Amino acid sequence: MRLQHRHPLPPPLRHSTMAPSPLAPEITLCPLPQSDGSCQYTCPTSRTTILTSVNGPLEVRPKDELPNHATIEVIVKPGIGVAGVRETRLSTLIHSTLQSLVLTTHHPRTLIQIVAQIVQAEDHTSLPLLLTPLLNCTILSLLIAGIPMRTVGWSVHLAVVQSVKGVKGVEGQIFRLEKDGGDEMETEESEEVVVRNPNSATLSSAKSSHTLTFSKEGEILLIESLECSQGGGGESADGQGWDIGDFLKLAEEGKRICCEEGMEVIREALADRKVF
Amino acid sequence: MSLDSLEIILPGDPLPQLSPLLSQDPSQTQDTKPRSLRLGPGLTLSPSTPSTPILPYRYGTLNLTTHTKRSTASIVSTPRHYHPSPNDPVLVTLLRSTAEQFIVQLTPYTPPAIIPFENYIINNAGTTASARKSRPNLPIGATIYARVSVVHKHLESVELSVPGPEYGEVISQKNTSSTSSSQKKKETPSTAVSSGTTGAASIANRAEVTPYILTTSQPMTKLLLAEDTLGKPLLSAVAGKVPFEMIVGKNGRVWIDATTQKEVVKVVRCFKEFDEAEAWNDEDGGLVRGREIVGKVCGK
Repeated sequence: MRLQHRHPLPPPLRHSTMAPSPLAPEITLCPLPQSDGSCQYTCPTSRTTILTSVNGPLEVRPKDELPNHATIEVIVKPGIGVAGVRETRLSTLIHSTLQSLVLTTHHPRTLIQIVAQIVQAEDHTSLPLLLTPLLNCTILSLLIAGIPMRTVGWSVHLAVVQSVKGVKGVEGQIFRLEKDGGDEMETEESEEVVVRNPNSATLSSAKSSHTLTFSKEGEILLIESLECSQGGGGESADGQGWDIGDFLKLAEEGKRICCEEGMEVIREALADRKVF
Repeated sequence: MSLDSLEIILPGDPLPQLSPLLSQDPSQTQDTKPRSLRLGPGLTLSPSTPSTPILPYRYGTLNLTTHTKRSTASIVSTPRHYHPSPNDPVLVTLLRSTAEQFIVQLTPYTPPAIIPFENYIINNAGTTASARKSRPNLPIGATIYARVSVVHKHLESVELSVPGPEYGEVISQKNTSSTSSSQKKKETPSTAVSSGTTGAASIANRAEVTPYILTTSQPMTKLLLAEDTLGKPLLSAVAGKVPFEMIVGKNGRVWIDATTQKEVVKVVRCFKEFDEAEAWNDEDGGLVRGREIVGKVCGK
């Protein structure tokens, strides 16, 4: 199931070994030699660095044991301070996303333990900035660890910014949503733009922020949308700070990024590893 | 099993390569023999997959064997840990024995496995160890070469079997020289050719030799098992210097024996350093680095 391009979008990214795309994340596989699968992931634009380790299937504590399924445990360790509500929230989001990806029936009465450490972040308090790197890094570690999975997913963080002015980004990071009327609106300065994997400064001027996770087949696994306090929020019909039409277009673009570019990133990362 | 530039398969990828093997349409195929496909590790049946009902659940490369009677498909990947699958040869350690079974350690990170006595065949006539008389009296800590017979996710433990006299307790030649000389060993052809000294001469001065059990990583184990392809550069390099015998268990244990203790240590060091350097990940399959290590350990 491939998404057809109906909009004149920027050309799809070509990842080559010679010149890595500015939007491709930096991925190091297996930095931790003692864990079953580990990965370090650096977001290309916000420079958020996450280190995850996956161990499993392990022996499970009797109170967590499920007779027909493996228990998935996600522990998010903060970059600064001790884990609190924010980390619990992040781990719940990751857990619910992975629950639909991992084939838990393959290893009943076992534990699949995922530990994610935030190594570096611009803003350690911002959930949307951390969620996408955490999810992508976790999925790569699960692949390395050989945990049975139904399919793979990829996450992208999109922020809607009121105006293109003042937003700095690398090539291909900023794009416009196609309006129904045609192309004539595109030149207007006031039109809102979508920034992919925004950094902290961009997010602070954003109207809304959307973390979307799609599986390889295009199923939606996670939607985490936030109305941001800055920008012109609250003007839409649903009162949530964004227009539902815009959101659907945004979701379609997110799906394209996840299903095509995300999968390309995963395949490139894994292609370097030798299998026996 | 070829390694060159095979496409990486991600979990959930459609496998159109398998469709011709599954087609039931008689007009497409000339032969009328029933088609069956055995699914190896990494593949599972899933009715919801769009193109084929076969779903890969791990990443790796597709390994398809069609020249045998029953074609087999599996996903080749190297997880860090050993997951038992039926018919794997393994080297296990005896922990204790009960009235019906031996309780053995397959891997240190899983609950113990069992060898029921009725699965323990002690001679060519098919006598099992179930009778008290025929039960082998094995000391605790004995190394047993066995096969995985039953792996079921809902069962407590993995069941192993000893399908014949070529399996069973692994005894070094030192012990067998005085009692029986039954060779319960899987000799690699490369080493068998190179070992010039055989027979009574080599056994006579083996009094102080203790075989070594080396724990290896999963890629290294696969390399040592594939003695004619992947492991050939390393094995022939080592065997060219030191004649040795080895038994490789898929659970990452390698039993190494040689004529003198010094040689056992040399072989062990070669394998260990090769594994620790992750030389199997090299472009040339560890050919150059394997030779370097062997040259360093065994001398020029």
